[in-house]
Amino acid sequence: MNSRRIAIGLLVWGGLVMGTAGQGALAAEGDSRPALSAEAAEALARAESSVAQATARKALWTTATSALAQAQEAARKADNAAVMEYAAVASEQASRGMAQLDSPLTNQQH
Amino acid sequence: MKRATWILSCLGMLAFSADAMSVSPEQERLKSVQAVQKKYPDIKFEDYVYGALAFSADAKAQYDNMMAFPPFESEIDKGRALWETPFRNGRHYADCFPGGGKNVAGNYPYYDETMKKVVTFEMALNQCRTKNGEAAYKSSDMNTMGLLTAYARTLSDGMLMNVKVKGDGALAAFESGRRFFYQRRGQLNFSCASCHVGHVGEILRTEYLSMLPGQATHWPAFRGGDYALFTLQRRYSACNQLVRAVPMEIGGEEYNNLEYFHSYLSNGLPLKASVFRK
Repeated sequence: MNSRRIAIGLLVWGGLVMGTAGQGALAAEGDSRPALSAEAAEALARAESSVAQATARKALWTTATSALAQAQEAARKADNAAVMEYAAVASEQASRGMAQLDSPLTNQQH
Repeated sequence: MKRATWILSCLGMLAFSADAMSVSPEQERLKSVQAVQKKYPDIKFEDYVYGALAFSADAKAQYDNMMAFPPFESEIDKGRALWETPFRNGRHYADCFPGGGKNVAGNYPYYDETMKKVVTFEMALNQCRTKNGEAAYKSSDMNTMGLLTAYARTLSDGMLMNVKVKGDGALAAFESGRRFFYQRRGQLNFSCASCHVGHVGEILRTEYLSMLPGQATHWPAFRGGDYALFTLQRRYSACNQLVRAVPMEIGGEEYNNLEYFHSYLSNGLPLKASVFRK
């Protein structure tokens, strides 16, 4: 009975050690990648928020969607400059889509 | 200051309401027909159903040849099989519609006062399915709903479009569809009307621009070299994408209201389903 408990204890302890080692390895991998700058992360968050607002108002342009996708892809590669560039385009295109809702209807002036 | 702002806001809303309701659905329809008649007096009203083909004898001849032996006939047959296959309870689609489904599509969309929304023919087909214990099809699925309508709508070939707008709810839905039609969208900043009212009959890239009246009569269509099946709302989605706007949901409220407005403006013109279009 005791030997069985010891065996189970060893298995649990071994698993914990292995798990910790695995996490450490992942963290090491994560640490080896360049981090996204705070400025780029903020620009990306702003773009995501603008696109979400335009989506909710049903005024989203495809150009905003594709720019956001490019910004997110650049974020995965931690390419700060590209994130900033594409996020700015996404935010601007999303804002223009929403502003378009206030433009006059075209029945009087085609 | 606040009071003045409030009064100005109210006046603004009144002005908007007056503008929105100043044209009745029938006045809107007549206005759109007269605009085409004025610009193209030689094109007969009944030929508006051919859309862009009405501006080109060559394109119309190609259409006539194609329709003599439609290369997409096997697709319509698949739709017929869907229509004729009984539900698990033994009932059929034909049991859900007056006249077994013949000469009904021209009455759609209609505004359902109980549901407080526009009901399209596709929604009626789905209501038939769910009422008989079947799962609804996705309106955007061309392999199910698309094919089903490709046959079901042929049962109304020749019927005149007969959409009605009565009551406040119906008017509001019509107005919502009207606003969609005239609202600029996408990075290219086009409304539906920019092309189909403002530049009817002119050539955009290589294609003539069709006229608004009659546009809702010939659906679904098999388009281009691969004869891809397009329902009217799939076409809306494609048009929105062309102007770089993210399209609305096919079968969603926006497109249903647009179809309501659009179909009303085709009133009096004959339906023909499953046609060829470039």
